[in-house]
Formats: sequence, structure tokens, C-alpha cells
Amino acid sequence: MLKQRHTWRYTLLFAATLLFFYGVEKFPVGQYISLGLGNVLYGVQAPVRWVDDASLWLKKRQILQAELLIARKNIAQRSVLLQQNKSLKEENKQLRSLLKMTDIQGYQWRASRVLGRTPEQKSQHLILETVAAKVDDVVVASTGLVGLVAQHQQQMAVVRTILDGSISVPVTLPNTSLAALVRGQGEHLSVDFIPLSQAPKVGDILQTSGAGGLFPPGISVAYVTHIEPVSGRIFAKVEAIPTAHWQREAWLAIASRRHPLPNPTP
Amino acid sequence: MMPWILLLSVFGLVLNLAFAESLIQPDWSLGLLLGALLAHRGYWPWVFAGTALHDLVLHWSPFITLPWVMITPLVMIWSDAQVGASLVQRFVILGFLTLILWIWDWLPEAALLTFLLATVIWHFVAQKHAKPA
Repeated sequence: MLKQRHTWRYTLLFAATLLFFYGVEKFPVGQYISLGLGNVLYGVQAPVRWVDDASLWLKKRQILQAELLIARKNIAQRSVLLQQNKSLKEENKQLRSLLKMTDIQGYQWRASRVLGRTPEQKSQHLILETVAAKVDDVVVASTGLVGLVAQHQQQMAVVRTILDGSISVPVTLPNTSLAALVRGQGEHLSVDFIPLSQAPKVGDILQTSGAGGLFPPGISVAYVTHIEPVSGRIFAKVEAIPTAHWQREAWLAIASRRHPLPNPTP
Repeated sequence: MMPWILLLSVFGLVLNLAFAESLIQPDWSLGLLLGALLAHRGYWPWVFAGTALHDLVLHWSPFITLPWVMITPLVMIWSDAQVGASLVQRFVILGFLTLILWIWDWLPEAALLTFLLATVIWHFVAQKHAKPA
């Protein structure tokens, strides 16, 4: 009788374990827990923020005094500086047209503070403090593409970085017809579908091509670090590392599409 | 005792997420849970739940350390039966489990700190459980 009761217990435990693994694979439980922890992270970081703010306040006072002195000295030269500014703007406009720089249109940009990140050497997931983010909004650092918003809730969003294996980014080399896909491999990126004849050089920077409409074109994604021909295959084995350094960035930009992506036709 | 360790391990997860970029810190949660499990394997239901939460929060997947932690009590029983209960095999198990962190791209220093944290917690919990002669 006792043995039978134990068998039932173990069967129940086994079933519960299976159910748990099935559940967490089916639903993004981890993402929801991370979102829920957002406010706790904010609270835990509060003392550090207070110390930072206090030191900034003291530092700022000294800076302001110094700036006041400099401003008094420079006030006579103001008209000259304005003139210089105008000519620089004109020069900038000409340079942009020469370089054919892409204006990233159709996106609304806003800055977001990084609240937390997973503790791997190259964090695969981030928690951001933001308003009105949507799933699949693009997250960018000053140095390049970071990833996509995976879940959002009120003023928090969790981000899956491009090192996460679930994201593929269509990329190209500027001024070439190359079209490839960058995929996360945990610690580095792999670049798929690069024909050996069109393989980039080590050190080349791949940019988003804009194919598929999910990522805006012209954002730096990865430095090529390794190229290896594979015998019997037309595509080379290419490895890369992200250009963005989100491990230390305190602020990131979120780009939300102004218009939703069109549904793929069946 | 164990609810407190579980609560501290949740707080440890928050510390890991909040200060990942500014401090080299141990995996607080895993260190606490492993220390408790090695000191008293009867804590396995709590430790499994805590490790599941650890994996889900930090890696969004339960297949990081949980499967290895799940077989740890069985390995402890088996190894105790083979060579007798001793510290050696427990240190080997602890070393292996903290090595997993390093494999999952944690800093080696963080893995080492986790090993040391688990050892301290193990000693502390074992002392609480020790019966006076």
C-alpha cells in the first residue's frame, strides 16, 4: 500500500515536471518574469542612482560656474560662431548628399534607459525602461544594432539581442549586391548565405539591408572576424561579432515603425 | 531555513540583473541553492524550483543548469553508495555545476565566486543541520 502511494507520488512528480518543461517551452515565461522584475530592479538601483545624482549635482555646480566664465568671454564672438554654424550646416548637407547617406524614415525614435541585463559576458537579454514600445520594435545603440523588443508591459520592455539564436538579420555590404543573414550564436554571430566569390574581408562591417521590412536599412550590425571556405559548399563559413557594445551602454534607442508591417500574402 | 534561502536567491537574481555591467559578482542564486543542496539533499524540491526560476529569469530557458541540478541528488546518493559519504565527490559535483556557468559565457571569475559562495553556504547550512554529539 505504501509502495503504491510512493509510485503515485513519483508519477505525479514526473508528470508535473514534463508539464513544466512543456509550458515554459510553449509560453515565454522567462520574458514575463523579467518584465515583472523591472520595477524591483528600479528599486534596487535607487541608492546607486541617488549617489550618482548627488555627485552629478556637485560636479554640475562646478561645471556651471566654469561655463559661465567661458560664456562671458565668448559672448562677443557670438555672431561669428553663428556664421560659422551656418556654413558648417551647409557643408554637412553637401557631404551627406555626396555620401548618399540613407535617411531612416518611417520610424519613430526614442531613448530608453537600460534597467538590467543578463550576466553573460555578452548579455543576450536586456530590460529597458520605456514607454509605448511594441513587440518587434528595433533597439539600436550608438555603435549599431542591438536587437528586438520581445515583450513589453506598461513602462518596461525586454529585449532579445542579436546574439540570441532566435533572431536573423538580413544584411548587406554597402555598395555591393551581397544579401546575407546574420544569426546569433550566443557568443558570436554567424553570417549565412555568403557565396565564396562575394565573401567580404575580415574587418568589413555588415549593415542591415532593410529586406523584410523589420529592420531599417543602413544600421551597422557586425564586424566580420573569420571567413572559411567549406569544401563542397557554395557558401563560405563566415563569423562576426556585433558592432554595438550594449554591455556597457546605459541608454539605447528604440525605433518603432510608424506603419505596421504588411501581412505576408499566402 | 529553506524559504529564506529561496527568498535570498530571488534577491540574488535581481542583483545579477541590476548590476551585471558594473560589478563582477557570483551567481548569487545558484550559489545559495547549490550550497543548500550539498548540505542537505532533502531540500531538492526547493532547490529545483529555485533553479527553474534562475534559468528562466537569466536565460529564458529551463535547460541551462536545471537538468544538471536535477540529477545532482541522484549522483550524490550513487556516489555515497560507491565510495562512502565524503566531501570530495561533493566538491567535484559543485565544480562541475559552476563550470556550466563558464560554458554559458559567464566570466570565469564569476564562476569561481559562485563556487566559493556555494562552499560558504554549504558549510553554514550543514552546521545548522549538524546534531550535537
